[in-house]
Amino acid sequence: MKAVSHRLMVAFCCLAALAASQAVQADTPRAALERMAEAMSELNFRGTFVQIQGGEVESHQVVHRAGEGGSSERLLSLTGSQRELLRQHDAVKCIFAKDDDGDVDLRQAAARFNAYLGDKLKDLDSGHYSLISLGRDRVAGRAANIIGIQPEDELRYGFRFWLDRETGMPLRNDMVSADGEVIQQVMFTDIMLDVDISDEELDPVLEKEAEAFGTRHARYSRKRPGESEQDLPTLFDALPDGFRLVAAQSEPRRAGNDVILHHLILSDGIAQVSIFVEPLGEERRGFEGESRMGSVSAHGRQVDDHQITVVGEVPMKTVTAIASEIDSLPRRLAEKLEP
Amino acid sequence: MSEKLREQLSAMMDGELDEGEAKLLVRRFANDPELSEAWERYHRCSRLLEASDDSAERFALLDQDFSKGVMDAIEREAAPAVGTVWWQEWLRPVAGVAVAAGVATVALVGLQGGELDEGPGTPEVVPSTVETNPWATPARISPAAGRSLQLEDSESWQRLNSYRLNHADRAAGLQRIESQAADALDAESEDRDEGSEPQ
Repeated sequence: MKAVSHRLMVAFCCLAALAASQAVQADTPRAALERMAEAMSELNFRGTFVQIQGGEVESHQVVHRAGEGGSSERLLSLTGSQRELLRQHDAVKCIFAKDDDGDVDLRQAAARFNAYLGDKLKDLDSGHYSLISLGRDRVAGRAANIIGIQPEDELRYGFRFWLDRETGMPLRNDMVSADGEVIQQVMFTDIMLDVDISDEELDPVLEKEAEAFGTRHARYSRKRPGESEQDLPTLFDALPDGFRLVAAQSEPRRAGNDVILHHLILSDGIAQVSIFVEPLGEERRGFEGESRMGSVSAHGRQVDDHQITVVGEVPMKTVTAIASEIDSLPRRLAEKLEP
Repeated sequence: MSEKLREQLSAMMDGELDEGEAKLLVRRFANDPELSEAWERYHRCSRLLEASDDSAERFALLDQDFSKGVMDAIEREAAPAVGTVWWQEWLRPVAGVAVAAGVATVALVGLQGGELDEGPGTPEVVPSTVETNPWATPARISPAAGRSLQLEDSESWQRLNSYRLNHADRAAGLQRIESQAADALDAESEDRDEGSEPQ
């Protein structure tokens, strides 16, 4: 009897898995991508992923536990200097080796897979991208469907997502230029999905009390800034095709600092570009020109005693085109945003 | 040839010998045919290694037995000269990765080195030239992929980096609360955590 019920259970599990996989297969590219962000935040998983960009390779170990009060995550760097990120819902703590003098990138693991892009598809009505199904593959030993967000011109990058056929989890993500150049790749090399994650697994591995390590804290908010689109001032005469101003905010550059940093956000529905505007005091030096940081292009200019920097995961020509349209930005900001 | 001389030769190949020592060594070439011959051999190996930039795929073709055969050959050749495995001594300060890569490079010379087929079973192997091969050094692995950026002063670098992080957060639909406020929040919650611990 026991054997029979066991066999029944196995059969049932197989059927359930089959049904699940067929459900995913039946998804349109859009539906599959919309499920992606959800899968990444609602599944328990532990695994290792590599990130490749600009000829450099990094590897991280990640443990993720979903919960009703929000998800928890531990991310440990396996390459380069020792860093560990612990996230509980929107509070992030990072432990890092003090010999690493760089600012610690507190981006969450989820962001590296660009899974949040799935949420943006709801608003995507532009003709600047097309969604395509690119077939099947296998990643980290799991069957995956490949879905592409293909750019229609050279002003933006596209994406290829390898989505787990069973759960919809993104297993690999390539950022690709319009002519096929791979800008960045993130891929799980091994992953266990739907596992139990104990509290201990979310405890730090690095000894944060040790002298060799420092810690950093941050808290994130998911709230969008208050301005509605109608309130956004007209600040540009022209922008690259498809891009428009979607948010603007002004805040002290650092707490207790009276230097106001204006942050304008442009988007074409998928790609997002930030424009930072801050006044340059007499003692402060600005910078001019282009620079590339991994997948991020940046273009800095000094206009009317302001440092204006355009930053985005878009081709250099896009940030440069935007930077060429900002001559009157400090003046317009002063007119529109200050009483 | 003494081990010291061999080391000096290696150092000169790498440009690590100081000028005085190098001059002295070059002067010895004239009187020591064995020395100048070794110098030529080293250079030939070095050229081969430099010519093998596309060697990554070839590494994959080498099976372990082949590598081991080459390694054995090195040991056989080197052992009588010095008494110990001198190249291991030489490689000791190099990280484990480089040693492993060196093995692959060594094997490559044996495989590709048509020029070196002077004597059966004794491939010319010069670990000192391993460092001239870009594949033999660990890949550039950096925690901050943007560090190639050349900015004149660290303030500009920090500002640009803070823009980049700020942008990345916002692109992911997040907004970072100011760091000072975050520290305060965190200190509060840590106080709470400590207070609530049963011990």
